[in-house]
Amino acid sequence: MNWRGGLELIRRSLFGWMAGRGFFWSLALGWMMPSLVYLFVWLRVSSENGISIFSRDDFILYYLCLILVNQFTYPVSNWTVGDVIRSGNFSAWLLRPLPPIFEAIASDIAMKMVTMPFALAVVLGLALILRPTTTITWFSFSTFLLALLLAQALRFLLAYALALLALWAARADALLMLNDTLLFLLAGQVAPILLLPPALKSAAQMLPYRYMLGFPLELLLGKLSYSQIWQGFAWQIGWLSLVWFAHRLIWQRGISHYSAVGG
Amino acid sequence: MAAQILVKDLQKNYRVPEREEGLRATIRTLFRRRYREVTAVNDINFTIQPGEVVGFIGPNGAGKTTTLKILSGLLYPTAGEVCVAGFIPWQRETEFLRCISMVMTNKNQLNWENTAMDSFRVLAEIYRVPPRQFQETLAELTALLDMTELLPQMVRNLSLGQRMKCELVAALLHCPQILFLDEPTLGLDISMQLNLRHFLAEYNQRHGATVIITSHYMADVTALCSRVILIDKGQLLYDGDLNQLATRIAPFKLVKVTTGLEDDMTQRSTLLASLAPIATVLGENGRQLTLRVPKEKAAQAITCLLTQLPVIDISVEDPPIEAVIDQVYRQGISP
Repeated sequence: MNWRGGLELIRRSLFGWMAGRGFFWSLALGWMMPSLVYLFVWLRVSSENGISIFSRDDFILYYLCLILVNQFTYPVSNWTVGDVIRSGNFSAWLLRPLPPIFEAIASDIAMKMVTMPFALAVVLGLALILRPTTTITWFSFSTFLLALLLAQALRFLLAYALALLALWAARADALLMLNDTLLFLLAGQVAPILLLPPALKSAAQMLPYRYMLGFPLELLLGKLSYSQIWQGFAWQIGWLSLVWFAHRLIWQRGISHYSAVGG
Repeated sequence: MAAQILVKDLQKNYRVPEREEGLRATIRTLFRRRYREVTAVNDINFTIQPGEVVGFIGPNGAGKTTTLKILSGLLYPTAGEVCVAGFIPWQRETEFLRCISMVMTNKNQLNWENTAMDSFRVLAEIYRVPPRQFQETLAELTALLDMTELLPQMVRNLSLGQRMKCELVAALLHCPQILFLDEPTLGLDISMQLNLRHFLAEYNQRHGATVIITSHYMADVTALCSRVILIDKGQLLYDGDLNQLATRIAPFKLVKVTTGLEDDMTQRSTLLASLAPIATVLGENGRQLTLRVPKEKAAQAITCLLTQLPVIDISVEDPPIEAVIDQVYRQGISP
């Protein structure tokens, strides 16, 4: 594996993202807007005592951390890889002695390096204004970190696999939009999954979206019992494995089907 | 010597969607799509030796780029065998990808948001070019292309010609044994085209690289390639020396004559009538005359013209290669 090539790709992508940082900060602001809106909606709806197992401070912490988790796990390859395939520039990636996924990973990491400081500054500013009080244990923080890394891998791989469908279908981006919508509804953005009606909650617990955003936050807030934690990790790892195999399958079938644009 | 590139019974079919025009047909395709099989490459065979520079020519849609893409591993063939530098291209093994390079006008290796130098550094790492070799190769290539001042510039700010220079450097940094060039001079001005041709010839001489070039500019082909492979409708029409192709397709010379003021039109008409069995008048413009004469009769025709007309200038030329190729495209070539 050519790690130096991969690192150099990240460096190059970082320079590229830095060149347009104003644009990407605006983009990051756009990504955090829904979370901010729902934060203030839930603060308004919940009284001083909160709703169910979520106190007012829990809502603040949940949505402020959601902004960061969303930023950390947002897969930029969602859109760029499909565009590269459709434009035919994917050929340039294929001609290099480096798996094309490196390009997507490099772009993803570089985007996070550019947008995270901005998101962090916004979240810290809001935390200073809203002043939530909470007790985060080492156990909840370490399980959160583990779930966050798995969430990042799961969200990236699913987006990458869906983007690779462009190897077959010209407009596979419609699936990406559907994926984003489901993520918005069932990942814990509109409301924490634990507060959803039972049927929707069960569905969300079985689908992959919760494990891309909501699950790490539930761990951080210490809202899950031990059995729920292990079940959650089992679902997360199960989905990650499934998406990994799906991605391999799509790649192998797609690449043999791929006909470069033009000529 | 073992062939660097071996192509045997190569075939590539595409399945392309098609529909009739109009709203009804459009709606119908929502439920049932119709496909047509298009044969882009049909039973092509050739071999290329190391260090050869081969022109791959043919009209639009002939199958040139498809063949190049198969050779570079971008496309899977429908049938046939291909071996490039000992590898099966579409298996895209790392060692194979490190020994080839492909330059396409509309696809690029450079990152538009970075400087050219940044892109070169990334490619050097991807291809594992040792730092010293990278510096030496970069110095050599930038000197050959006279482009040192482009290195710190953002790629998006470069002109088409400047970008093409950078693309060539990007393609050659790892000193590939095999270079595929798809329309490398497309859209470039005359002097840039000349520069690139000179550069490619020099690169081939220095590194002994095998080069396959497709181009609609015959000047690229005549300047660089001693051998041409001509394909049309996916089929190989000719594989061999470019000059022999011209001799075979157009075994005649163009004789251009300019006569003096004392030229008598009646005398000229009589002379042309007497030359009619061996010479065809292609054009008459005042005192300028262009004749097409079979090669073996050229001397005889020139002697007649010089002795019977007040000639002040005469030239004998081969027909332009564009005309020869055009004739092949329109009329085909007899075996």
